[in-house]
Amino acid sequence: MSVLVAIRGYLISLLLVAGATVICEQVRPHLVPTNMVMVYLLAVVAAAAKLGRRPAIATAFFSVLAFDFFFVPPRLTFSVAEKEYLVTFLGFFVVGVMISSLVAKVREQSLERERLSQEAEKARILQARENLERALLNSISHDLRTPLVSIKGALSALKEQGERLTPEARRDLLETANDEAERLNRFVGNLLDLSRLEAGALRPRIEPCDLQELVGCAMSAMEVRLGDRKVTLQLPQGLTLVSLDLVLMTQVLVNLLDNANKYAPAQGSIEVTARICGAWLSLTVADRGAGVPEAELFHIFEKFHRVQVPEKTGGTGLGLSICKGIVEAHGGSIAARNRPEGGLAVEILLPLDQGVEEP
Amino acid sequence: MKETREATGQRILVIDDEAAIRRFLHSALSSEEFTLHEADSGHSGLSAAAAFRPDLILLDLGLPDLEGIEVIRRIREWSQVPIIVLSVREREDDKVAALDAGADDYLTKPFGVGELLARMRASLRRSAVQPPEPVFSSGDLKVDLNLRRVTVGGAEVQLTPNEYDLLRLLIAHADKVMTHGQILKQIWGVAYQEQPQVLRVTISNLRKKVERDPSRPRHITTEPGVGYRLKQVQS
Repeated sequence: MSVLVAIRGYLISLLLVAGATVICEQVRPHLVPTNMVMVYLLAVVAAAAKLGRRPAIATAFFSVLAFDFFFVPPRLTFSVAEKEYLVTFLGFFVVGVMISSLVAKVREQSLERERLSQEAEKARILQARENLERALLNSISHDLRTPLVSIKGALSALKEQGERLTPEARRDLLETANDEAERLNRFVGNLLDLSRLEAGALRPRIEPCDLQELVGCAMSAMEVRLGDRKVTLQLPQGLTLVSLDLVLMTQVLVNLLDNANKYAPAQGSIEVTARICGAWLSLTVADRGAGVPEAELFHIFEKFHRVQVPEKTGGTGLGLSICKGIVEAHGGSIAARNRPEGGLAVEILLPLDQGVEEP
Repeated sequence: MKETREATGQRILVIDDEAAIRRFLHSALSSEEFTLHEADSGHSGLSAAAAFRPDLILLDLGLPDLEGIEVIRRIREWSQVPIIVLSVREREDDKVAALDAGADDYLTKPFGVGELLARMRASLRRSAVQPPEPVFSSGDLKVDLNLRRVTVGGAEVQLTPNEYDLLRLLIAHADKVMTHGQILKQIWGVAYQEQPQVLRVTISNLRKKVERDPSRPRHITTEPGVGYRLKQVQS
């Protein structure tokens, strides 16, 4: 490969010399031969700047030969009538080599600078990735440990102080341990889903599904967590078959409902709307909470991103990135916006045409 | 292997290689209601199933010597004892495979004892030898299987033959998950095994007739990716 590049360099230097010769031939009636040397010097400078040191020296050498052969009397021979031309040749060759060296040096320096800055960029990216990974690891171990602390604490208190505790205190401890175990289980499930999604192992199994059934599955999975929360459903009338993975999309809706339930005040209702818009299914989960700062609307779908909220709501920062992964695996998109009347609306768009016909 | 003989309730066989889980089930289930027998591998579980003659089996899928699915198949060669799978595998494929192999129900670990007891009682109730009830009743739903009459809150509803067959099949397996494959095969025939949308349409129509709010079904619930379950509310 490098041999080919070298040969190419020398061929181009030959071409440069040929070009210079053609130009000199054109201006021959108006110039004395010594001034034609300037045209050849231009060829040497061009070779030094574009091809490097060796092809430039070769250009200088070929230039001397061509100048002698074509323009130094007697023309079309390598013999030289006036010995003064030997000084011209020598001077030209030395100047040519020096220009080659200087220009080539400048060129190498600039290439080196470029390489260094590329390496610095690479190192910066690597560092950023390492920082991100460290942050993820910290976040994961924090999220795994926190519930374990409560579980271990509650259980050890029951084991060691059990008889001395009031029945209410015992029940509280047991409830804490149980709730935290549940939270830990959800977190582990989320982590598994996310890693499956990222590894591309979670491929949606797309089937015609009843839209009403999809919403129903999500609602029944959320039944306990929603409690008395008012949820308004707006679905198309009648049977609407849409092509999607019922299990995965149910999870998307559950995550969105769970977020709305966690971040919106208890008395505010949650609205779930499904509409067919041309070739797309639009699913929106909207709440009446505080919304999300505009600058964060894009970031909330990133892994482990959590919007700073005053009270601790115990999210893992994974729910929305799982939603995004699942929706994108369906060929759809997900976006959040603040509602003008207050609250957050998360909208999913799924392509309807996934190759399954309605029966 | 360990046997608890202090009580004479219904006989439960636990097949799980995790000692901690056997211990927890032992504390949670040992009562007057149940007599527990434990096995820590597939082979010892199979021989215990033959020797101990349990009324119900709780089976883990990830056994060291034999796949849980294989244990289900071998037991089903000679016994219809209810089998509830307890597994950390939460993928729908695993659930469908276990149910299609003949398991009666599936609980993903970790689970609550309350839920486990409810599923166990439902399975035991179903397996208790009982003459087929001519009238099924759950909440506001009443189905007279002799007269083929279905009423919701006292008002009669008209079902198409397919809708009625589907409802009857779910009633015959009340409280148990029926996989899509099992339902399609029994009602539409083997040729429809790969046509799940036929089932979805029929379920949707049936729900419209028997559910008060079809988007929040109380009777026919969906097990996403697995199948359907008719819940029987005890009156």
